[in-house]
Amino acid sequence: MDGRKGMTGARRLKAGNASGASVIAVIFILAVITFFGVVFSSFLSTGVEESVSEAGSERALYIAEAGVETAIGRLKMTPVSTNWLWNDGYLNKAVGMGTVTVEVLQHEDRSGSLVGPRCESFTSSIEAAGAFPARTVYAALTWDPTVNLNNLDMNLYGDGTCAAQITGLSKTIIYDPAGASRRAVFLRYRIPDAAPAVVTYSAKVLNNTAGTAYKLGISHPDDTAFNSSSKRAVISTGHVNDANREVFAAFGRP
Amino acid sequence: MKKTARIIFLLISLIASRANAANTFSASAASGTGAVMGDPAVVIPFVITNGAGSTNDIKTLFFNIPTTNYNISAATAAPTACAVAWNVQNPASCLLPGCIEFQRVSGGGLAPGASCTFDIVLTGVGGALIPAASMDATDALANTSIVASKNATSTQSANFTLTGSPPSWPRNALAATMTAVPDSVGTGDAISVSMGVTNRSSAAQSGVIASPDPPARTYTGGANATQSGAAIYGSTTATTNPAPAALSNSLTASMTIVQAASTAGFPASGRLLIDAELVDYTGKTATAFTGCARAAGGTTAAGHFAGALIYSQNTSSFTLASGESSTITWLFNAAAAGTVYFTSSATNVTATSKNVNSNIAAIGAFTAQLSMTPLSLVSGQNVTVTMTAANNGTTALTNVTPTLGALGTAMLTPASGPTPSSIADIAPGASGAFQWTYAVTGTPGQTYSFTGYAASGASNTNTAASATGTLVQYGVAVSPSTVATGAAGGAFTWTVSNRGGADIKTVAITIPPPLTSACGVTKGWGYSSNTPPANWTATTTGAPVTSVTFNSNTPYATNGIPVGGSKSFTITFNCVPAVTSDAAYNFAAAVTDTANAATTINSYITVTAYQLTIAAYDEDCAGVAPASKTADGASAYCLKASLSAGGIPVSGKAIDFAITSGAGMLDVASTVTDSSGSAAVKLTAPCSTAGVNTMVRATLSGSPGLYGDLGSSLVFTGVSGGSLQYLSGSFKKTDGTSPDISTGYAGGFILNVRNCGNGALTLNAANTTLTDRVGNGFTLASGATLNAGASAQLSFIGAVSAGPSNCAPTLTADAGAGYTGAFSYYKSPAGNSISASDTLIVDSGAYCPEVVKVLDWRELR
Repeated sequence: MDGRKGMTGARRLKAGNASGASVIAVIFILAVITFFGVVFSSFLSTGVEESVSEAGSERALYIAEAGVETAIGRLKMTPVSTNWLWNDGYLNKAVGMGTVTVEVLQHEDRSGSLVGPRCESFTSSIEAAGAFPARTVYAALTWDPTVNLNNLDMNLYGDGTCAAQITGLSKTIIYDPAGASRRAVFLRYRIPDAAPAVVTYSAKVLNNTAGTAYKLGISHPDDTAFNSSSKRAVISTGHVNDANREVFAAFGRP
Repeated sequence: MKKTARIIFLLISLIASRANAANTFSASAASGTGAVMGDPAVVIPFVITNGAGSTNDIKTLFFNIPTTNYNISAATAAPTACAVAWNVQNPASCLLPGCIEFQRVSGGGLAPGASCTFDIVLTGVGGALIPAASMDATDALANTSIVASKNATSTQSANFTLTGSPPSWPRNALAATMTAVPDSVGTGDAISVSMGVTNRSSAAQSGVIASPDPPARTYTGGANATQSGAAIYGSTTATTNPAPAALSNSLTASMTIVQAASTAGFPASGRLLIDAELVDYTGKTATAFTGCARAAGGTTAAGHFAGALIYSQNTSSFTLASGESSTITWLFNAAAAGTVYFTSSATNVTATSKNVNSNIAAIGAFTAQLSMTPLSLVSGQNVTVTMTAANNGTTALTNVTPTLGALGTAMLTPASGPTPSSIADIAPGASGAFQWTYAVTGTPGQTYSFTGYAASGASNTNTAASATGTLVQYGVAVSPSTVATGAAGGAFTWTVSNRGGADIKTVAITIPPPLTSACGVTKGWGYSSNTPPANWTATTTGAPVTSVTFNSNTPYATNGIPVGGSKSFTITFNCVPAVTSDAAYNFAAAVTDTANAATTINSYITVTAYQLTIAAYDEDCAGVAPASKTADGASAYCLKASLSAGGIPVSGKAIDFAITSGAGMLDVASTVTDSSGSAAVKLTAPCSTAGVNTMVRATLSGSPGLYGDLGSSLVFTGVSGGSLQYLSGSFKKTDGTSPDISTGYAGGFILNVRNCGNGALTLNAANTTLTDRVGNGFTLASGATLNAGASAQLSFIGAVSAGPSNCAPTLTADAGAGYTGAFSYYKSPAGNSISASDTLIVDSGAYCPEVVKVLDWRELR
């Protein structure tokens, strides 16, 4: 009898225990499901945000490229002899779902192969007029690392003789993916707004010990001798919400 | 009886008295006559009128000029335009330099009531310059200075009484010249009028201004020119006025900083004049005007190119020291088409200049100017007429043809021209020239001149007129007739032609002052040597040399200048005068024939203030000229000629370019100086397997003596391999007609090319393509092998599906290892330039847009 009772109690107990385990299991499963739901929900939310941001960035790039094309179209209007001198630029010009800001520069090809160091001087006129007056110096030093084995370098100077180096500027060095050797150096400098009417800077190419060919393009505000035969460059920045992409293009009249 | 005799005596006396009293004459200096201090000479036209009540003709006239200020020049000749012929006598009783006698040649003389003008050429004493005084002066003859006689005599018997005041004329203390440049402009363009003023007096002259200010304008054809801003006075020793500065960077219409090469001399604030725009500024740096308010004074804001001149409007009348020069400049806006010339004078009340006229400026989108040389010649010689047609508009002018008409009393017979008969294409800003030669026949004194215009379709230029030339008995032409100021001398050749009645035995050429024998800092006519013709000798007079007399050896019939013939006489100078404004020097040539009749003919050499230089650059007209280029028919140098006057660039002047040695192709033979005084052409290499050294000369158009040569020859090294050239004007439809088509055209095209190299080129459909600028491609119908120097016609087939457009197509070819590089029809070299007929016109489309080549493109990160 006690045994039955005991058995009954045990069964009851077993039955009661089994019921509690199920509840726990259910709760556990629900918790797991909830956890993964939250996690998946979180993952899903992040993916949408990233897609929105990526689309805006792509649009900004397209707008920046459109800005380049628009500026080229403006520069080659007839008669090109006068329109090629246009350097007003654009400031937040509406393009599609965003805006574009374009800075119009003079471009000079200073490529060479002389044994360094090589000092390249250039002059810029600082103008106040225009939607977005030019204030940028952008120098791009590139070379074929399979031909020119030197790790070239380049610095910018605040005079015409490569004497007073400018240190507060953006300098980007591109390395060869296969190793630690360099293949390009880019300098970008914003000329102070308080600069005098005409400024002279210089860029020095270093380390070309073998005297091998390199390409050097220097873009800067127009010098006093700029004419319709000179080369142009633009820096176009596309803006879409908080996405900004920049494109540089240099071009000339053949 | 005694009473009767007395009555008879009184009657005879009365009759004689009345007869003598009736012979009167008047004399005056023609209106507008006047001398200018410091001039080499002056011509005073004395108008002699026999009194209407005179009973006798005037057969002899003596002019006695006081030699205190003047001498009569040997260049004085007898009048040729009077009713009776006159000649110059040289009796012992009336000799130069104080007296000259004119006698009628035969028969009656100057009849009662008739007038005749005697041009007396006066110099300063001893052939010096017209003397200076401290201010304007008036010179006058005495009552007895001109003696008129009823007899043909060399005795100064005064049978006529001078009535009225004796002649007088002013002697101006200031000399002025006026120039309008350019002489051909489009409506809306600027004309710069500059008056050069020189103080020829012996004292300083203060407060010199222009009168009228601005200059008066004389129009034809509805022209109009409105002044921009105010007069701009130059700087002098005692008066500091800012010199114009060049715009160092192009200026848009909205810029508020005007960048200049230098602002030195400009006030701290003021008003500027740039082209036709007034600009007020509030500050300046060394190289910029700041705080600029554009479009001041009711003008319109506009863009201005670098190099444009910036004039200060804050200038004042100037003080000129004795001998000092300066300029007064005005800018005018060419408001309406036609022609205009400008007139003004300089004055400070007590010192004045004569009224001076500028050259004629033609205004319009399409203008013409006529020039003619020489202005005097003998019967049977040729005159050369040049018409310059200028395109001042914005669209090309095609098929430009000239029309020329002859005027005057002489017989004009066309000898050649027009050359060319037409010009296919004159681009905007360019000009073209046509030339004719005419044989002029007639008698001395007869005249010749021309008028004409150019046409392009329905558009005509203004009707231009040349100067008037005159036939003379003896022709004297000097070459070169223009030379640059302070030039290092050179040889000048006088060609004397005889259309008189006897052989010429002597030619004496007078060298005008200033003279020098040193050719140092002070420049003048520095005689060096002479070169007589064969069987002639020469003697010189004076030190420095003042004249060179060439004498024929006998027999004159063999060695002299025969009737109908001519001979050349050369004088070489070590230096020429330095001038601040153009000056014409009269080299009077006294010609004596075997009948001992002497005639003096004026011949002028102009010393111009212009200076012309030429320099070579790389093809882009900016870089240093490479030491050599390949003679591949495509490589090119840029040649820039620079024209200045007194250091100031001169714009709007045509510069002629010519290859004087070697070979090559100039893209244009003549071009006009820009605002910086520069005129550029491209010299394209010749095709040559051997090296070629080429020399080019730039000459101020119409002034063969004013030129500049390159400092050294341009070197073209011989070409190696093949080199393809497009032959300009050969691009046609297959049927040979103009490539003006509609979309859908599939008839094909042809064009001609030449192998400018020393290796063969093989062209085939695989390596040679033709494309238009909107994407239509055409296939080479059949291949061709071009040996060195060979030409071939290439045929292309394909359909034109895209349009409309109006562009030069692009021909590309890569003929293999022997080929020197990709060939682009569109970029065909200067000298092979693409004319309007080379353009593929599809559905009359708009002109091809400018092509831009992208050099670099990257995203910045």
